[in-house]
Amino acid sequence: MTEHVALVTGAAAGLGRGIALALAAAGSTVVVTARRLAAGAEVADEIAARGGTAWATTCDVTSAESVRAAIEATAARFGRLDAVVHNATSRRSGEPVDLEHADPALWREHADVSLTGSFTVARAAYPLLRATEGALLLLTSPAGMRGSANLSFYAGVKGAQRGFVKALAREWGPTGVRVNGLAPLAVTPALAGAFEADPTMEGRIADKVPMRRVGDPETDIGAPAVFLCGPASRYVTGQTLIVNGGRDTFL
Amino acid sequence: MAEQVALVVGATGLGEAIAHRLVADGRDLILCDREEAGTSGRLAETAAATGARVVTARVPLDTPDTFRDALPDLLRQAGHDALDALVYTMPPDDAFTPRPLAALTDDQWRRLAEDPVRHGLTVLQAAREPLAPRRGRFVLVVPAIALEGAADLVPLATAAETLRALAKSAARRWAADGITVNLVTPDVFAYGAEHLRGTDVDRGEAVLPGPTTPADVADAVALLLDPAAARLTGTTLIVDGGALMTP
Repeated sequence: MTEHVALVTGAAAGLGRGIALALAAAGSTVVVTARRLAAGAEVADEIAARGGTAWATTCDVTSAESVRAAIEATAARFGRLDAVVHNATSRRSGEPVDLEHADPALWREHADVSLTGSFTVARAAYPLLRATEGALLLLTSPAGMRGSANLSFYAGVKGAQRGFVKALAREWGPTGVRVNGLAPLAVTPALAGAFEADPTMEGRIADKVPMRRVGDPETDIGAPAVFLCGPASRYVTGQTLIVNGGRDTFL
Repeated sequence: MAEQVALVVGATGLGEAIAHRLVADGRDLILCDREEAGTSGRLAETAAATGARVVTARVPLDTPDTFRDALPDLLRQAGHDALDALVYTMPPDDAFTPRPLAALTDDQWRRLAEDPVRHGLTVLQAAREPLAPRRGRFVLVVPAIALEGAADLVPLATAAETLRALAKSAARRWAADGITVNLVTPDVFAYGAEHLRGTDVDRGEAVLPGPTTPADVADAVALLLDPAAARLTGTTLIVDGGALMTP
């Protein structure tokens, strides 16, 4: 892809980093955003070292102001925006939640990043995406479709993003801006930590995946994300692509 | 249905229709609303005919524990110590007014997308304890645009699908207690949103004649509360006259 500028939230590590690397390898100019600039800059440097083009800026998706500033800075620097990947999730996403007694503040933490964050990112990016007939991609999860006994707040906000994608795809369809979801299974730093703490966990997860392995953020999830961000998916909107080795086949 | 009690959250529109149906089936009823909850004339009439006890209450859902704290007294007033069914139907205020996302303010988003989820979550969080002793059932009613989306109704679709995912999570958690959690998703016209005729949400695809009515939704809720539905949990009944037909 040439003349293609993509912004990724939560891009300092894990899925966000993997998607940023894949976008850059496909020729996108990548705006690597993270709450901490230094963390984003490391990924931007990594992209540059591989011969790609990237620029890091800070973006806290729980702040509408910060989101607006990151988008404006992108517009000022590159003059266009073709794709936005909202990948950031609450740091507490992987924490088991006692649904019946959980503090509403914990719900807030999940919702601020994923539910309201999806709104503020979409609203801020809209004028630029409209100009390029670009794409908005939200990272969601099968948990949002199946529910989750232990990660119930995570399931809730991932469900939120599914409803959001479908409604906004229908709303923005006439403008040519596409809105899709991507529901991956991949070894993120959080999951790698969990595997280390519980050595049988990776095998237990992989056993439920027909392809018998847990995906890699860059090599397994990156390419489908690039597809949904670029012109190859120009007639795809309102969809969720599940990229998890066949673990979920119900859609 | 003798000796059964259902609690319905949402006293107008679909909530009223559901309450009426549950009382007609012979259940006692606790009817709650964020606003002052009254009983409709036909509800009072039907309750008098069946001898059902009906308790109404205004229960704010903005503060996390208000609903939980109100439950013991409401149950006592209804002459019960646990719930057989809890039906959540609370539609958000002003939810069916079309608004393009790009023009929404932060306050509008909070009111239209976040608050409805908080209100539903407050009820869901409190539901397990009163439902467990009678292996009761939870039914969540949200508009079907949770499943399909609709232009200019992004906050409503988002809130509804959030609640659906949370309800499925509860279904997984509470199965061991014998509590089931199911969903009913009516089309928007069952909510009386006639002004949406001819808009994006109205594809005119229902195959059954006539519009979906509140009574149709109440019937679907009654199906899920029937003893014969014991093996159903985490499922969604789409009440739309056959428009969607998936999954």
